[in-house]
Amino acid sequence: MSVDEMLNTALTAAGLPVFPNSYTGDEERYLVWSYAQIPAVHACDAPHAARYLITVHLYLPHKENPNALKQAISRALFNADCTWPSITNISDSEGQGYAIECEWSDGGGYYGNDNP
Amino acid sequence: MNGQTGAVTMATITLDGFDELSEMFRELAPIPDDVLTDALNDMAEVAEAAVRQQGQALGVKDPQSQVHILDKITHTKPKKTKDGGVSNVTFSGSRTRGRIRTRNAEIAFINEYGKRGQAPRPFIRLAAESAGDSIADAGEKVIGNWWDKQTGN
Repeated sequence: MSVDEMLNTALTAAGLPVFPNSYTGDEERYLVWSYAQIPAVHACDAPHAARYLITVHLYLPHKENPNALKQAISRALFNADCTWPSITNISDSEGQGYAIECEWSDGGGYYGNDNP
Repeated sequence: MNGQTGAVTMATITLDGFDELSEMFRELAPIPDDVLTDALNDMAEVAEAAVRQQGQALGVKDPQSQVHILDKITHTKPKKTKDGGVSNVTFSGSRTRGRIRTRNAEIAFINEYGKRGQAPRPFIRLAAESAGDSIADAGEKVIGNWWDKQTGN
């Protein structure tokens, strides 16, 4: 399973629209995911797995209690084999925002090696 | 570990050098303040360079200003703590855009985490990931040099 598939599948469970990288539409409540990929498990001059530094952004209107959603998203990511996320409040005058950060590894699939 | 064979097989476990190790830790504990300060300064400089490099790679900038926020990275004066010491790598200063004054640290924060309609550029997180070993090496080198002088190596 690719990291994109993993994120779309895990985050759909939160019941909000999910978008990759950036979203400029009219939704007020939504999730956006992005990630950086780092090669790992080096042997024979080549990486045999990829680590992904994942950021999921949860955006909500002001005055809405975000706690249940933050917990559900954290649990969904953890159940999809991500590390337990840390959460940074990035709210501004436009609404609430939370950067939910975790890590995931594909076990070598990206480099065509499922058994690193 | 030395094995002894006979009618009854036994194993004798010995640990050499424990006294020397304990002595080394006793001597290492009081690292002088100036050595600690030098180590933290060198580590912070490596961290600064890593943040700047990642920022450039990800295109971190303030589109409304000619002054690059990556030129405003600095670190605080090293401070001794109960666990060792600390120096924070941070962004200094602020800028006025229109009539609004914005801290450079705030611009860096929005670049790092993004906001509605703007994808994040996690240059600080990536710098910490990529330069962790180099930052530790810089501190280790200063303390290693001090230790070599203590032991006459």
